[in-house]
Amino acid sequence: MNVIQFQDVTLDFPVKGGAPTYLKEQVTGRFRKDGRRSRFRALDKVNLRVERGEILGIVGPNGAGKSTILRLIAGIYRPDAGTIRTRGRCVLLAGIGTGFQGHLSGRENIKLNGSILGLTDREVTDRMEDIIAFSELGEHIEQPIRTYSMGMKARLGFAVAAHLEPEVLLIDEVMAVGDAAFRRKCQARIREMVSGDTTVVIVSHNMNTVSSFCDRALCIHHGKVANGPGSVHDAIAMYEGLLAEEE
Amino acid sequence: MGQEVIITGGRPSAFSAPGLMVRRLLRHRRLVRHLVVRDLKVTYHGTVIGYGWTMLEPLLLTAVYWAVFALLRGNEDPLFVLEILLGVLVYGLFSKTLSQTTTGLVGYSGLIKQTSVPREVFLWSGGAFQTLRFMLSCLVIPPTMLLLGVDVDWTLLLLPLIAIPTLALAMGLGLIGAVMHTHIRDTAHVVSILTRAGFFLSGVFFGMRHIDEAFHETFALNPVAVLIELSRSTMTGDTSLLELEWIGRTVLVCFIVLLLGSIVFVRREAEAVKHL
Repeated sequence: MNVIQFQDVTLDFPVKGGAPTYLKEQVTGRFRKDGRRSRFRALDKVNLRVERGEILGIVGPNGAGKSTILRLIAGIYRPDAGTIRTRGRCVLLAGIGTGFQGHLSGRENIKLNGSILGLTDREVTDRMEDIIAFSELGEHIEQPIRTYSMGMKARLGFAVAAHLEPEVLLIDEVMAVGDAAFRRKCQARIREMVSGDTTVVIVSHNMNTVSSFCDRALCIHHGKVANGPGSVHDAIAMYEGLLAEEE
Repeated sequence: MGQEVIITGGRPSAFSAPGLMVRRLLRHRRLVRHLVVRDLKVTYHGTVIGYGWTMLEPLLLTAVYWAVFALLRGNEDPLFVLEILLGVLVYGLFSKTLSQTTTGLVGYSGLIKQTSVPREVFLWSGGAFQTLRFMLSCLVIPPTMLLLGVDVDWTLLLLPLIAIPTLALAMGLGLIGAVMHTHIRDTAHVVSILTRAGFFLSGVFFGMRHIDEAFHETFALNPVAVLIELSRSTMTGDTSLLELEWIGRTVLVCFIVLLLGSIVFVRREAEAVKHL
């Protein structure tokens, strides 16, 4: 069963030009025959299908549109053309600890962050002790987050994310948080999550991560699918070829 | 496995937009509560009197306005002090909600770009926070009335109801402002100037009884002025200065603005988010 399906998905972003450009375009755009405005095409007629329980890797140079695909699946952006179909609760892991509030304690931030990521109060309460144990923060959990180091914040953020149990997990470069031991723990947890029915889409510049986790991969370049979805090896080879060309 | 969700580029129809916003807010009501609690804790974090500032702040502001506008002019009517206090509270709810909502999308851009929480949840949590502050501030009115020797009438219990149309008006304008602010960052500055101008035009430090009767009808065209005057009438139970038609029109305008704001927001927010 397809859990994610993109059909000719196109997404444009406005070119940053500030208020004068916007106002000018609001006026002149109405008189242009093609109705075209100065926009950057982030994705151009992308098609892809991800089956239930599958792990798809997305690779590509910076600015290729990898993270944009994840945000479209998560419903953060709406496509300008084409259709996206998803099935089940999608959770995006990006910018670990987004929404943490420095003056609140670690425990209070778990409640807030869990709620932002879609957990009910009951689910947060039930998973609270597991999250605290996973984060390895011990007594620090009662201290305000502003007293935490970056590594501690990242550990707490990942601990919340690791206990979400979504049906579709979207991972955007967040597998390198904390020290080496905690990174191994994160990767083990992700393996545990994806070993079940969870469908996973991973965006990473780390080819070891992509080749060790993913069943299939696709390579994106300038908003278009350059290769795949297909063999992980082929997508990585295409990506490395593109990098060599750019150099 | 959950239901299939289909995402296309089509905008929701104007007809369905308000209902869609209500459904999204109801689905995320717990998050709204968490965000309000967070704002309360963060706003008063580290202060000596904590939530007491919700009451002390309007009292101190009233003292300043009373000193400037009443004492210097020789007006020592205790009712006038209370009129200013109510003006400060109602206008504060309106202007703070409007400013916070207008800058809401840009202010929450970090979260908006990382989570699929409907954006209006963040904006309405700001409105809910300001309403809660208003309610807490209202607690200071009965003791102040007793202190100034003014009888407390049962109609004062109706005061919190004033928050409903006030919030509707501020949120309606703020939802439109929030979308505009993502395109044109000057919007917040314009709103700031307009709310400051509105402070002088809405009768915060003067009442309807202080202006010539010939101008009452014109004055009542300003919905915020009518809401402030209505809040004052809950203190005395006397609504003789306000015609029922003005009250009805004001409440209607507030909810029409909210309806328009929700339609504009739901239809435009997807494009607005691309500007963050």
